[in-house]
Order: sequence, then C-alpha cells, then structure tokens
Amino acid sequence: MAEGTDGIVTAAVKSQEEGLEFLEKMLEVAQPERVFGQPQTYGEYTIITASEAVAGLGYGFAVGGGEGSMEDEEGSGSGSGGGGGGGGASSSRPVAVISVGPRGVTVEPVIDATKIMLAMFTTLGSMLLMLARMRSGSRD
Amino acid sequence: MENVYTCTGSKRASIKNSEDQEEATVSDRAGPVQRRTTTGTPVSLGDLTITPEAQVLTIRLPTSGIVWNRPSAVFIEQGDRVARLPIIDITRLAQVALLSLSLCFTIAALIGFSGQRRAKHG
Repeated sequence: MAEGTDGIVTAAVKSQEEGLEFLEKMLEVAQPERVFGQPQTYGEYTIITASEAVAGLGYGFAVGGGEGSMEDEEGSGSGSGGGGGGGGASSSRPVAVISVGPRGVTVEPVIDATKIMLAMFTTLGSMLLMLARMRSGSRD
Repeated sequence: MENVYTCTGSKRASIKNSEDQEEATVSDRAGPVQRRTTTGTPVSLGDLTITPEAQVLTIRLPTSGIVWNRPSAVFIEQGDRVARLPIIDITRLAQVALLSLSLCFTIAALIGFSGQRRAKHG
C-alpha cells in the first residue's frame, strides 16, 4: 500500500506545483498593461482602450488510504486512492475609450446597455414579487 | 458623458511612479487580500504624455485566487502641467445603483410587512 500511497502523494505534490504555477500566471492579470490597450491611430485621433479584467482560479485534491482485516476471515487488505479537481475563469469588459485628438484628450465611457437592462429587469422582477407577496400576506 | 481635458492647471501634480507602487506592494504581501494602485508605461503622443493608472484587488488563498484589475484614471502630462482624468465605469455604477434600490425596497417592504402583521395580531 505504501508504494501506491507514495505515488498518489507524488502526483498530488506535482498537481499542487502545477496549480501554483497557474496561480502565478493568473496574477499577471494584475499588471496595468492588461487593462490598457496599445494606442491605435486613426487619422487625427489616437485611441487607447481601457478594460476591466477579472480572473479566478481554484483547485483542490485529497488522498487517502487504509488497511484492515475482517474479523471472521483470514488475511488483510489495504487500499488507497486520491482525487483532485480545479477550475478557473477569466473575463474582460471594455470600460472606456481614451481619445486623443484635435479637441484634446477625452475619456468616453463604454456603456453596456444589455447588462444595465438585465439588472433593471431583475430589480423590477424582485420588486413586483415582493409586492405580490405583501398583498397576498395582507389578505390572509 | 465625457471628461474633456484641457491643460489649464499651473501646478505640476505628482504622478506616483511604478517603483513607489512596487515598494508599497511588497509591504502589503503578508495578507491574502491586497489592494493597490499601479501605473503603467507612459505613452507619448506629440507633446502629451499619457500615464495609465489601474486599481488591482488580489485575493490569494493557498489553493485559489482572484484578481480584479480595473482602470481608474489616466494622467495627462503636457509641459509642466499634469491633469488626472478619472475613468468612471458607468455600467458598474448603474448595476450597483439598481442592486441598492432593490435591497432598499426589499428591506422597506419587509419592515412594512412585519408591521402590518404585528398590527393584525396584536
């Protein structure tokens, strides 16, 4: 059993090292260059995009083993096992455009109408649900 | 809505350089949650120098982590004058405003509902 457990522990340590490596790579998102784009020139105007970047990562694993014998049977048995899993996600969303032109420097926000509308409908829905519950509660 | 920059200031504002930021970061490394402001590489466009500024929130646990990096401002440098243009995330503001409205309404409704029940039963 010891050999099997050792193998699992070695694999787990390797997985942890790989996980830490991924975690370090993820932290590169923290650099300012990740949120500000390279300047692009179009005629008299030069624009720089500014985006929000979010990244998350998590992993975990477990190993275990055991040995024992049955009371009414001869011999003994042992076993070991391990498992792990992980997941991550990253997203980026444009926030503003910095424009340099004859008028000077302007920061123009990028408005995501879909997100705002979704939030508005969710808010309205929750309000209506609450009102409906209050009305039905006051009738009882 | 837009912020237009015109170079009218007479005093030169100070832009925190990347080295200062890095020193501040090292001292914060003990905790799992870090919040810091970083400045990127300045970009020169004609007589203007544009320096981006970003705010980073890092939550780092032994087997997981989250990094949230958002642009916060740009520094416009022209000659001796420096101006800071904030970058406002309208979408996020609207989302937070709507969520706050929803929470306020829920709390008010719950208070009103419990008051009604108390009046009925007591």
